[in-house]
Amino acid sequence: MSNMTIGSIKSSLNSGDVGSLMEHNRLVRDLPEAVAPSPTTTETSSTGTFAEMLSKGMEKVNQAQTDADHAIKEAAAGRDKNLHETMLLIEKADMTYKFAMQVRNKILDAYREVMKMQV
Amino acid sequence: MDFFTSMRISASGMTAQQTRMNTVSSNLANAETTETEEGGAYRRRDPIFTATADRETFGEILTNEMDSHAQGVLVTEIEEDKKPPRMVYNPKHPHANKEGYVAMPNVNSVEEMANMITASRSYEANVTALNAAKSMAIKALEIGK
Repeated sequence: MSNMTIGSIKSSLNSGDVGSLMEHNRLVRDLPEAVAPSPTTTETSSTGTFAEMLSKGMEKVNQAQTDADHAIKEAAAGRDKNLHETMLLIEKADMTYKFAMQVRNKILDAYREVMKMQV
Repeated sequence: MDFFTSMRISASGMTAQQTRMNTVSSNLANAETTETEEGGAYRRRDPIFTATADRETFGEILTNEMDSHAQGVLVTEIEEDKKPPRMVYNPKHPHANKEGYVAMPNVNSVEEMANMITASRSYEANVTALNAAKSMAIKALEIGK
């Protein structure tokens, strides 16, 4: 079973594009379940797949960016109430983005670690 | 995220200090105003600050109700100073009374300057608190690097 999973990871490597990262994440998630079904399976299914969680998080980051963009436009048009509220939204967007970058770095690290595995 | 709570509270403090600055500007600008819409001389204004729960979403309201250790500030009202107007003898003034006295605003410029410095320093303190909260969050992102 584990050989098959590693084989499919290899095939995703052969396809070679970054877009297969999601597929890879799904495989990594499936790995422990395939080896030994954990008792927390029902819990993970209620919170959704890893890919869903990731895309939800990305939506939030994107929302913060959009909010900041809107606030900047309002400030430029002279319609904003307080300058510090605008700055706060920009900082929020900045920080959520930095957090997203850290998550991405961690995912890529894990991906590379799996890729280094000797078959 | 909890870091945003402290940042929002700092922002509420900044908003409050900005309102205070607005009242100080109004008081200084009207330090010589002898006629107002309500009649009589201008009366100096003071903002009243009230601690308020930082609420944005239902979850945050619930958290605030559970433990209300973090509270933002809100300007609930702008109060007029009840001090009597300053009476200045100037019979030529169009707003002078029968005895020749003009009711001047109860604004003390020196007091307003002190208020202004307090407002601007409080604003700076809030900015510093916000930046500290931000650098804490940034440091947290450096964990594991």
